[in-house]
Amino acid sequence: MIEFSHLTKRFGDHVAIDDITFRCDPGTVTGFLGPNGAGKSTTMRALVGLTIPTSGTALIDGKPYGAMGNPARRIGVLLDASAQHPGRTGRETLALSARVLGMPQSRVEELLELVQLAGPASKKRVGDYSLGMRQRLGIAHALLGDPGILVLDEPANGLDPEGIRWMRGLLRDFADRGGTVILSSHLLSEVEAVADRFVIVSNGRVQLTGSKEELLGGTSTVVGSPDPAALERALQVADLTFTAQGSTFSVAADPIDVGTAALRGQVVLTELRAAGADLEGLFMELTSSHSHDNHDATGGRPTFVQANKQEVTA
Amino acid sequence: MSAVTGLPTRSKEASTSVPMTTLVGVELRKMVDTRAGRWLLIGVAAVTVLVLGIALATGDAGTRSFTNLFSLAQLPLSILIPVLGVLAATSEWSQRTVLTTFALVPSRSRIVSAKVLAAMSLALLTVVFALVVAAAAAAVAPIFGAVDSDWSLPIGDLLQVVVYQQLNMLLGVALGTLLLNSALAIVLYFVLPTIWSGLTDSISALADAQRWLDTSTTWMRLVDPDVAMTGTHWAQAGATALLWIAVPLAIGVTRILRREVD
Repeated sequence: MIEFSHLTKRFGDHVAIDDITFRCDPGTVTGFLGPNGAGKSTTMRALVGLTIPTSGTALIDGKPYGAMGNPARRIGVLLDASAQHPGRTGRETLALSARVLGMPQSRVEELLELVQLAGPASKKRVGDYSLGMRQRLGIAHALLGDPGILVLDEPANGLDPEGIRWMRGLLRDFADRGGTVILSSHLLSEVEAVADRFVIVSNGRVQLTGSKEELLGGTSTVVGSPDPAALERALQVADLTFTAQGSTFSVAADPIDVGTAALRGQVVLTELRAAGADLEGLFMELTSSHSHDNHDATGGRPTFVQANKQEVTA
Repeated sequence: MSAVTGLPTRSKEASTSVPMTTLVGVELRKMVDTRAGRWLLIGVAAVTVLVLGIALATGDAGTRSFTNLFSLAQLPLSILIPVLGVLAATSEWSQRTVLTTFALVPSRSRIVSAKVLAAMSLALLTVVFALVVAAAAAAVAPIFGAVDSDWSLPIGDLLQVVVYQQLNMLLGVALGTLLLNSALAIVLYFVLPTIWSGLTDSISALADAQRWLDTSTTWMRLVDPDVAMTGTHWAQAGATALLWIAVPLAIGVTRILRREVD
């Protein structure tokens, strides 16, 4: 189990993450979603002790990561697939870590096989790998210590559609056997099919957490009429909560209740549909103000992650 | 697949710290398992053999003795091997593999210690290499002409050679740890002592500083056959080590322990 509790990290005036609180339970895959620069990587790095939080805690089975002597035997981590030495072969990269973890060399071969990097690919230098191959090597690396928890930062980045499907199967299977998985992405589509819980962050804050059903629960209905005034009266009479959106209304009720209200008020409808049925819309809604807000908050300076990228390329 | 990604968790293994010997072994392997590291080693070995070959072909009988060949081998080794020490300290930061290293072993001080010990082990191995190559060269020396059969190598002299190589290696590691940038640290490793010597040579007020703090003066005595090390000489070598090794290493380690890793 992973537990983030009021985790906050400031870099000078800039707040990278702010009061992050959520939990990942065994048997679940948590999709950690948010735009680039929302604070996903900072949160994950704080979990494994690479970033020291300003306040709050991140615990694994009740303990801080650094308190475990050989933590990678319990928790497998992929933070950045590009952070591998280009002059080392894929096999050597895994073999080094296997020695640290006290895992046998046969474990390296098993995993090279699993991520389809066995044979000639394992003898190639990582510098000659494609991004997709590096991601697969990174996933193999995370699995090396036979952990019960997986923490993957943007693991689907650079994978082809087939690779993404493969990864989904792997993670689903891992969670179904009691494992805990958290994977981040800035693209909902990458995690929607595999995650059973979602944590959506934006501007360093958790905007929403829950299962897909919970997130989409409390559905609203979009309704439109050639006579908006009459429709508004009918909705008022039925005691429904609504907001006007141009010529249509967004009503906090199921379509059947809205339709009934319109029938009672004898209003002609041109539109009646359930809204918010797609996670994508919700995700966009929660995160669309991100870049604008961030610039305001930092006085026009680049956000933390952007600043990082500049440093890396420099 | 289930056999590979087996559950449940193994909490017992997770609570046992990785032994220091394992960490040193892994760090030593990291110094030589990349393409850059491997070619650097091969290059150093080749240069050393070349230097001894030239000595055999062009030197006189005294030059061809084992003792002299062993002493000659120290020069290329002491100049080039510390570059591996620089890289041991810097390359993980340049290549961002610290992300993996510190995620596997959260205790950063243990990793830094392992790197220092690995570099020192490698320096020790180079002395063994020098012994072997010098012995081989001395064995074939008669082919090239007259040889002074001098196989003497007092244990005191050998230890001084070991200390000398360790100091040079540690200088590389210290500069690397301070700067965490391969290119910058390598350039400074070669240029800084020279600039320092130049300064202290040309400015008379710095003459005292040169006697105590110049690596090419205080450390070189360790391998100079004409100098018998006195207590003052050792103190001067130590003072130089304090400035060039202990200070940058301490500053560098302090920074690493607190630094954000990204």
